[in-house]
Formats: sequence, structure tokens, C-alpha cells
Amino acid sequence: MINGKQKIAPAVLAGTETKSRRTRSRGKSSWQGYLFIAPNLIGFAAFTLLPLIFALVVSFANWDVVSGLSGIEWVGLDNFVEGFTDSAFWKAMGITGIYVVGSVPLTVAFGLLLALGLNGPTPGRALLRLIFFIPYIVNAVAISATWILLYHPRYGPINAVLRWIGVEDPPVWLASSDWALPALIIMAIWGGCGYAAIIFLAALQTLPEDLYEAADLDGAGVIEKFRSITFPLITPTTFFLLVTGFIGSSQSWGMINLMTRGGPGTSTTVASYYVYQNGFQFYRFGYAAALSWIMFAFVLLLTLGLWFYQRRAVFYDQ
Amino acid sequence: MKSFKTFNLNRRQVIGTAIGGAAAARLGAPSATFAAPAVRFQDGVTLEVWGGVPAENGPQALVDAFMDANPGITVNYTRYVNDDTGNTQLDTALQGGTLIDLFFTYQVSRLGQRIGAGAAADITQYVTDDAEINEWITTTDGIFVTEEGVYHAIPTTQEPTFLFINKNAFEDAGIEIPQAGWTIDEFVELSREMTGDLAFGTYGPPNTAGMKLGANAWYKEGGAESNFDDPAFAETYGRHRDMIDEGIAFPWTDVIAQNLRAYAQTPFLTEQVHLWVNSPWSLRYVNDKEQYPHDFVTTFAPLPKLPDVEQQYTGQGINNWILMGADTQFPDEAWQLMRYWLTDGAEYMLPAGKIPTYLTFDEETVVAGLLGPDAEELYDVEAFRSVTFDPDIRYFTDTITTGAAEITNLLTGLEDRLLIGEIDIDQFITDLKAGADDILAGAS
Amino acid sequence: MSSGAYQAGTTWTPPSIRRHGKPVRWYVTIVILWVSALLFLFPFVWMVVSSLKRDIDVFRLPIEWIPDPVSFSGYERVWTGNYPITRFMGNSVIVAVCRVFGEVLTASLAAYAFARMEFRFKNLIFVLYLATMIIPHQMLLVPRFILYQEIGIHDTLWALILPGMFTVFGTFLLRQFFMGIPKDLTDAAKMDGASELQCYYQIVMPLAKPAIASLMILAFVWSWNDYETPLVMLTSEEIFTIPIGLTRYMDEGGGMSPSLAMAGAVSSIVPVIVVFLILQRQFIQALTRTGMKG
Repeated sequence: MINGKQKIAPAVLAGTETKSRRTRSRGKSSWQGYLFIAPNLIGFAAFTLLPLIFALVVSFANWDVVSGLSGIEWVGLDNFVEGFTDSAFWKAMGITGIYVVGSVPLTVAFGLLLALGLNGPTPGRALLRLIFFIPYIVNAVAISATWILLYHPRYGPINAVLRWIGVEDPPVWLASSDWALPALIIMAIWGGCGYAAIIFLAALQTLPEDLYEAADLDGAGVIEKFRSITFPLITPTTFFLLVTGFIGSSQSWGMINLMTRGGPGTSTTVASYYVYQNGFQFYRFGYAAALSWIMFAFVLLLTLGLWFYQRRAVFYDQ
Repeated sequence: MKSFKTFNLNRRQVIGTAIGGAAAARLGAPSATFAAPAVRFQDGVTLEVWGGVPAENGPQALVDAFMDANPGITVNYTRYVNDDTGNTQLDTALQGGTLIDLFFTYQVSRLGQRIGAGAAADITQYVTDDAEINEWITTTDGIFVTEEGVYHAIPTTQEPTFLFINKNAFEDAGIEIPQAGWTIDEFVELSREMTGDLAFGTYGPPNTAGMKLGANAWYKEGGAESNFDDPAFAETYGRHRDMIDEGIAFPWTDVIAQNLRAYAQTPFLTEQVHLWVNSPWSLRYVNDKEQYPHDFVTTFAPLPKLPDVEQQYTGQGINNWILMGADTQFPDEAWQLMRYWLTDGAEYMLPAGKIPTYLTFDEETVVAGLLGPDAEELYDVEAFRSVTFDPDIRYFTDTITTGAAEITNLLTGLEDRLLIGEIDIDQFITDLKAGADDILAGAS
Repeated sequence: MSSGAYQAGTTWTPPSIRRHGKPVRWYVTIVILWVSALLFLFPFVWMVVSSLKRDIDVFRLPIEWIPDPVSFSGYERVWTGNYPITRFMGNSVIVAVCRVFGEVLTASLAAYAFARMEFRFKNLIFVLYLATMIIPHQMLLVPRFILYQEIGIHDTLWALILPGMFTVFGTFLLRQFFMGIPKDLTDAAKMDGASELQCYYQIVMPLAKPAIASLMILAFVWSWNDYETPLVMLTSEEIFTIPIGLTRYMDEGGGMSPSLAMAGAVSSIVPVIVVFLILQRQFIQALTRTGMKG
């Protein structure tokens, strides 16, 4: 097995994956690569790709599901044209943008702070981890019922605390077009940072301690160590959390359905909720499919942007 | 079967081609399956029934009684959740591959959709061959029939709308309980008087627009334009807003914040409101002494009268339509069960708060079934009897459902904003009319 | 110089401070953590409290934090009512366990390939993976329903297990971790003649135990709480999982007795907590045994 100290050269911290060693063995491991991904890929193709293609195809049609496959009525690009000119849809996209930008970076940041705090020999560490993770475990129905009461304008604890610290007219939260979305954002952060913390913890615990030892030899302080060792080394994880966070957050509608049904008015109708309404309430499955493909294009562009950024900024071992 | 007085109902209304929802649903061939249904091979007949009411609240007892009376027929009741995803489950099951002989629909828009999509069988022959049912159907309002005279769905429940009243609160305040013939202005006045430190007079006023305009109130003639510029709408929503502003109706911020909506039983039973416009469906909560204990008697009053309206409506009370699956392999037996559900079987649905549309039973049985064993303790039974069997009850049933789901969505959103004070009544009407017209324009 | 090796996974404090006791910073961190924990626990406390009330008391205002009277009817109905939760728990466990093991297996193999092997179209396929994560999943419900009917797994537990075994998320997560493991380790092993499979099995997987454990707990939670898929795919009560099983208590308007809903929620959390604690302990132990000791 492996023994002896590993000296990790400064080159590690600098670049992207180098290809030099790979090209030598490229031919040999090529078919092996396919073998490894085969189970995952085949299952994925069957259970995700196929239905996806169906959803793509039906976006060129009007379909209300209950008519069966013979009820599909082809309309070409009409759904897409309608989608691009649908002001309700674009308003929903805007709301989604606010929701995503408001909740994801903060969730990741808090998750990281939590993970850093929980990584040390803190007393009651296992229990603390459990507590922070509980919001993620509880089912949506229970969470929504709980937070509905917490946000109650007159009797809820949140406003009680706000009044206690001197805020005279606390917001009515879910009953206000201005505050309903921030209320949901707060809930999202609460619910998500435990999950982010778990992932960060796993990453932190895989970090080699030699680097820290070397840094201490050089007399580095805590902030310095974080900035030049910890943070760079966990950028793959940070990237992962941001990307999956943006994707997941742009899709989330279950909590909205339970708590505000897109309201008051349309102030919490995010794009995926609007898609859900069109597909499941208004019987316009084809239109809903087209809208989700438009959403897809947007989020894909964003993700690709992040992807190319990470090729420059994320540090992987060579 | 002892029949009792029929309700004063309008003449039968006919569905136009407008039925079918916003998307142009094709009236496809009924057997539009893509997978061959599984073959049934038991001796005897098995019927699959899908409904939204939990089995133990009535359907199972009904089905068991039917099976006892008809050995050789097995009935399986499958319950689906009557929310959007659950209805999609039913829709996807209907479109092929799953055996469904009978199913229930609870919203007019979905009813139109399913019939238009060919998911329901043509039962005209059964109806016209059956003397009693035929007579009932041709003299009863609100039964859907297409222009060609084809029947698909039969409603099994009627739900009158009336007032639930906290009798003790009124007696303590020394105020008289409203009687039939009271006016809408008296309603507002009473709410004012019953508002105290701890309670609001009412949860909310009745929807007088629906009461006045009746069927297809949202649509102008022909269904291509919306009808929200009719002053009846401004009047009813404006009234609600004014009552909230004055503090005599339950604050809408609470309704939204707690997601109360139709589930207003807690404010009523915890005596935060004393007047509550509702239907028999909510009786189950008042009946539940264990989960909702309360120590006042609930009495009832009919809806108040509107000035200048000759014949006003009690609401869209016809519901719980039963339909036969288009692919059923046992239509005769399915019809038997359908008929049973409508007639003798309806007795088993009474505890769920479902008053039968076909009037097989006498008043005693119906009242006892609805109010439960503690009727005398919890209710003013006489008052209940008079509002339920009120000869002035008049139902309407919408026949145009174009864009219904979208318009409902728009209306709810705007209503919320109006009632929490973010927009005023003029803007409400303007936005509502414009938005609904857009929806209807897009649907053509 | 450090006085001997320490456990991986602990925060390294410089020797000078260690000799003089814990720094202030340490205490402050503890306090902040516990206060935050209490805030996080708050809603959960309310859930438990509500589960012990009668329906009329759950939404009674002002909020009563101590139920009076205490009512176990929520739990009675959940455990011994018409639809006891024990039946559904069994199904939920079967589905979750199968999904988790299937997912860890297929995702780790694929992640290993994406992270440490070369093959043509590798990046293209991976971008395709990423792209498909973006589609809102409710759009896949109806197509999947049709597909499952065609292949005959509709209304069986396989309709829940199979799609959950082949996810993109797991592959993505593990790929990131695998990429962070130094190549030198596997290079050295290969020079000693190890095959890719051996590298995967003996080097990379043990080192990625924290990541694997994280994936397991996340996959378990998603499977446990999945509501839409079973709702559309399952109609036979015998195979219902917990979220669907609890809907049996919903009335036809979609409303549910709040005390029952809370009792159901609390009851269904317990197994997840157990799994979480087991897996937590696992990967703390794993690190102290193997570790990346220098």
C-alpha cells in the first residue's frame, strides 16, 4: 500500500487537470471507461432520457393527457412562440431569478460556516449535525404547516421577536406580495444549509493535513490557512453545491404549492410552478413542456457559464 | 321508495360545443388506448371504481352493500386524492392501460375535459330505458347532456349553501337569529353587531354575484368574452373588502397566512366568527366531538335575499358526478352500480355530508345521516331541516368551462390582493376583466 | 513541530495555543453553534407539540406551546388506524435501501470513469448528464407513467426503485470528490500492476467514504420523502410508501387533520434519524482507521 509522506507540490494548487499522463494510456482505458459508466448510463437513458425525449416531442403539440396518445395535436412551434410572448411566464422567470440568487449563495455560505464549525472537536458534534440536518429530512407537508404558523402576522413567534426588538410594524410575510417571496427564501436557506454542510463536511474531512502542518511551520494564521488552503481545495465542492443549488432551486415548486399557491397575486409564482399549473391544472401539457424547455435553455446557459469558469478557478489534483 | 318534494329547479340545460377547456381537446374515439387492457378472467364480474372520498367515509359501506345484494359482482373501490397531482393520476389512468369501470369527477372543468376527451362512456341508452331515472333526469336541472342528446355523467350529490350560526353567541348578545327572508343588508348589520372583542361577526359574506347571475356567470353570451364588468361582481367583492376594512369580517391576511381557504372550521368552532357561509360538507367537523370539541349549539339560516332579484340561486350545488369508463368491459353491471350509487346506496354517503340528488329517502333519514348521533346536542335540528329542504333552493350548473382553471387562478390571485388591501376594487375589476378576456381570446 | 499524528477531521490548532488551553474563538464558535441549533430545532419542536394536540387546538391562537389537553389521537390513528404506518414503513424501507445501494454502485463506477479515466466523448456525455438535471422533473411524470405501463412495472415498487438507482446527481457528486483524490496514489498502484477496477475498489472508494456516506444519506432522504412519483405510479395500497400512505387520511378536498399530519411526520422521521446517526458514526470511524495519514 502507500506509505511515506506525500509531498504535494505547489503545482497542485495551480492548474487544471493535465493531460500528459493520460494520453499515454488513452487507447487502453477507453473501452474500460465505457464499461464503468455503462450501468449508470443505460439506466439513465431508459428512465430519464427516454421520457425527456417524449417531453421534447410533445412540446410541439397540444395535449391534455386524458385524451390519450391519439389526442395529441401537432402545432409546430406555436407553443414556443406563445411561451416567448407570455408575460406571465417571464414574470415567473424573474421571480425565479430572485428566488435563486437570494437563496443559493447564502445557503452555500452558511453551509460552509456550519461545516467549518462542526469539523472540530466540538462537544456534541454528532447531535449538532443531526439538528442542522433535520430540516432537510422532514417532509414538505410538515415543514410548510410549521412555517405557516411561524410566519403568522399576529401570533407567530417570528413577528413576536421582531416586535420585542423594537420593530413596530413587522411584515405580514405570506399575506403580502412584497414579503411572501423573502419568506420563502428564508425557509429555503434554513432547509438547505444543513444539506450543504453535510457535503462540505465530507470534503473537509478528505483534506490532507500535511498542508496545514506545512502552513503552520510558516506561521500562518487561521484566516490565512482558510484562504490559501481550505477554500481553494474545496472549490470542486463549492462549485458542485452552487450548480446543483441553482438547478434544484430553479425547479422547486412543492413548497410554494403547499404554502402560497403562487400568491398572493402572482408574487411567488416561480417559473416551475407556472409550468406545473399549465401542465396539471390547465390541461396544457404540451405548452408546459415547451415552457420547461425554454427554462432549460436558460439554466443550461448559466450552468455552462459556471462550468467554464470552474475550469479556470477550480483546483483539482493533477 | 317514498319520494318527497322535488326541488324547484330550472329546465335542463344543454352543453354547447364550448365544453372542453382551454386547449382544443379532440373528441377522440372512446377506445383511444395504446396498450391492450389486461384481460379479466375471473368468473363473475369485477368492477373497478375510482373516487375521491376515502373508502371508510362511506364508499366502502356502499360497495359492500351492493355486493351483498348482487352476488357474482365484485367491486373494488380505489381512492384517488382529489388534488392536482391525484387528478393527473386519474387522467393518466383513464387514457389507457388501466381498467376503470366507474369514476367520479368533482370539478366542472375536469368533467368537461374528460367527456370531451372521450374518457366517458355514452350512457344514454341506459338512462332512457330506465323509467324512473329517465323521468328524474329529464325534469332535473343541471344534468349534462350534449347537443346530440348524449348523456355521460350523473351527479350524485347536492350541496346547498347556507349559514352556520353560533346560536349561543347570538342568545348571549340578545340578538335574534335570522330567519328566511332576511336581506343582505341585514346580514351586514348582523355581522356588525356580532363583532366583539374576541370575535368577528362573520367569516365572509356570501357570493352574491353567483346568487344573482346563476350559471356561467363569468361569461357573456357565447362564452367568448368575460362578464366581470357586470356590477354584481364589483358589489360582492367590494362588500367583502369593505367588511374586512371595517373589521366585521375575518381578516384575509389571516386566511392567507394560515392557508385556511375553505377549511374555516377552526375559526368558527373556536368562536372567532359567529356567522359562516358554508355547505353540509363541513358538518363532519362540527360532528367530531373528539377533535373539535365545542360547547355551543349550531343553528342555521338560509342565504339572505338580494334586492331586486326575482329568483336567486343557492349556488352551484350539484356535484360528485359519476361516469362510466369508456373502455369498460361490463357496461351493464357498471350501470347497475351507477344506479345503485344514485339511489339506494346514497344512504351510505350521508355521514360524509353528501345529500343525494335522487331523492329516495325521507327527510328523517337524511337529517339523521348528516347530523350524526349527537344531533340534538350539537344542532338546532329544526333549523337544519328547513334550510336543507327549503323549497326555494335553486341550483345552477355551469355549462361553459372555457379557460375555467386559468380564470379561477387569476380570480384567486386578484381576490387575495384585493382583500388584503394591496389593490382597490376598481383595479380589481379592471385587471380581472382584462385578464379573463385575454384567457378567453387565447382559448379560441 | 506537531507532537505526533492526530485524527484526520479535526481542526488543527497550532502547538503554541494548544499548550495554553482553548482559545476564545473556540468558545464563541460553540455558543454560536448551539444557539443556531436551537433556532433550527424550533420548527421541529412545534411539530412534535402539535402532534400531541387535538385538531381544534393546533391552530388555536395565541400559540400554546404546552398542549393542553394532551391528545395522542394523532399517533393512535397513524399507528393503529385504518391505514397503519407500519405497513407503509416497510415499503419505504425496501424502496429506499434498494435505491441507495443501486445508486451508490452505479454512480461510483460512473464517477470513477468520469473523474479518472479517459474515453472518447467523456466530456460530452458529462455535459449531457448535467443538462438533463435542469429539466423540471414534474415534466417527466407523465412520460414515465406511459413508459412504465408499457414495460409493465406500473403499480409495482420497481416504478419507484429503478429510476432512483440511476441518477445523475450521485454521479456528479462523487465525480467531484474523486477528482480531489491525488492521482499519485492510483498511479503508484498501477505501476505496481493494479487494474482500474482494483484502483477503484481498494484505493479510491475507501478514501471517499465520507462522500459515499453523504450520498447514501441524501439518497435515502429523497427516497423516503418522495411524494409525486408514488402518487402517480401506485394505486395498490399494499405497496404504498409513507408519504402516499398518509394521504389516505386526506379528505376529498385534500385537507388532513393537522394533528394526524404532524404525528405522521414525526413518526416518519425517526427511521431517517437512525440511518443518519449510523452513517455519521461510520464515517467518523472510517477516517480514524484508514485516514490519509502522512
